[in-house]
Amino acid sequence: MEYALTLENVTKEYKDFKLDHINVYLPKGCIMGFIGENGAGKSTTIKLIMDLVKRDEGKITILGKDNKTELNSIKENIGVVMNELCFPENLNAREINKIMKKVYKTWDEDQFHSFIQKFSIAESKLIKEYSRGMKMKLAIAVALSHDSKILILDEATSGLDPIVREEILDIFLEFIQDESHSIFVSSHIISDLEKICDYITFIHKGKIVLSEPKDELLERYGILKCTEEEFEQVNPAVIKGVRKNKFGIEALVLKNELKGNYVIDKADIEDIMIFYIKEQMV
Amino acid sequence: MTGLILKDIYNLKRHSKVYVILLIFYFFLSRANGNATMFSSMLSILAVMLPITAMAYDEKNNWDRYALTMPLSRKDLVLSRYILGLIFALIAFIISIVSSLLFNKELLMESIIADISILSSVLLLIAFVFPVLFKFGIEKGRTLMIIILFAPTMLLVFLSNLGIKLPDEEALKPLLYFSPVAIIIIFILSIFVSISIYNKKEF
Repeated sequence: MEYALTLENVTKEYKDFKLDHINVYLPKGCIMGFIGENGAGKSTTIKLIMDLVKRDEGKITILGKDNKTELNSIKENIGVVMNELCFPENLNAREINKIMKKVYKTWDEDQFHSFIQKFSIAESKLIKEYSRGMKMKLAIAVALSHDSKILILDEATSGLDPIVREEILDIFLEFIQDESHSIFVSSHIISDLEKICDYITFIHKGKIVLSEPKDELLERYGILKCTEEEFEQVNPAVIKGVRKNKFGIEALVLKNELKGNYVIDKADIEDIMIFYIKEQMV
Repeated sequence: MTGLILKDIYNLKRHSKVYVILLIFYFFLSRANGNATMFSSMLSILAVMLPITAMAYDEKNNWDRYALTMPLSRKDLVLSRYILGLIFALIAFIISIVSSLLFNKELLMESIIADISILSSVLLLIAFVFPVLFKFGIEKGRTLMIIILFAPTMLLVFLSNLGIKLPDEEALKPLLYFSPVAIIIIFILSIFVSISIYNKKEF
């Protein structure tokens, strides 16, 4: 399989935090959701991908190129959206267009203008007067107005209202229609990612807990609801997380390996994430 | 690179009225006082301040880490700042030369030498301050910057207080002829130092 993005054993140690030998493989043509709670290491990972921070160990490739030695040759093909809009605040969209024309050889002015119109951003409005939604939309317009083959987004949809979020997700789906395009998107808003992602990678305290096709994940896990007596009969190997309340027990289980007659509900990505985190805290 | 300089110019343009008014005010003030250096000092202060202001905006909005995801290298980001500094230094120089030619005909030679020395001091300031700013950022580098700005004056005051006689003008003249070369060398060295600081930087 051809990969748009690979991280192998990538490690970065800070005083109070360690990104610990993480492995991520994003196949070309797919959307990968990179989920985890705040401080799990999502932004650090994205900075490592763009070589903004130096890794201690490991190897990263983007579009098949090494991100240390060959990054400059593929920057035209990478669109990055940070968790904020990083242009100096006294600029407006018209000026950003002129600046980007000098920065990207493949800058597509018409494309940019059509995005600006679609997002109803006034061309002469200064960035400092933008709302959070407008800022993110402008950042996405910039990321998509050059020859991007991979989009890398850091919390691009958080802090946005549902309507804007929906618009942005639609744009991602449109972008991914081209099979050579891929998206790597981090978020802690899981419902967003669940809708559009092909792959889910779950990071927790600097470690990758799971990284799999979304459908397999949803297929494999279920929520078992039972009493404490029943629960003691269950093979501990299939249990991935437990939550007790006064009505009985809820447990995240590998539902296909659970033999017997139990009540099992569907687990969504959020359930899986919450159970995993709870389990680690016990 | 052109894109980066364009970005700074667009960004600074929003305050240009204030700067122009400030300059006009100082121009008339120095004419009224018959003291042309007042105007040229203001010019040179602005020439150093403007590129630093642009950097402060970049820092506030986390521009650098974003720019590095674009087809721009770390070297481009450092060089563009020096070029911007050079552009403002030259603009300040041209304005002060023109004003010398127009309004200071009696003491033309002296006034042109003053203009050249102002250009040199702007370039020297940039050369000393920029590496500090790249290392510590504008916010943290601010105190250090002020120390660098005042260190030469403080040193002179300190030395003369100690009773050490400052060399007279004649003794300093050869230094004046030698200084353009020295300044160019210091400026280029400063660029290399900044690039090597910036290459190690994490965002």
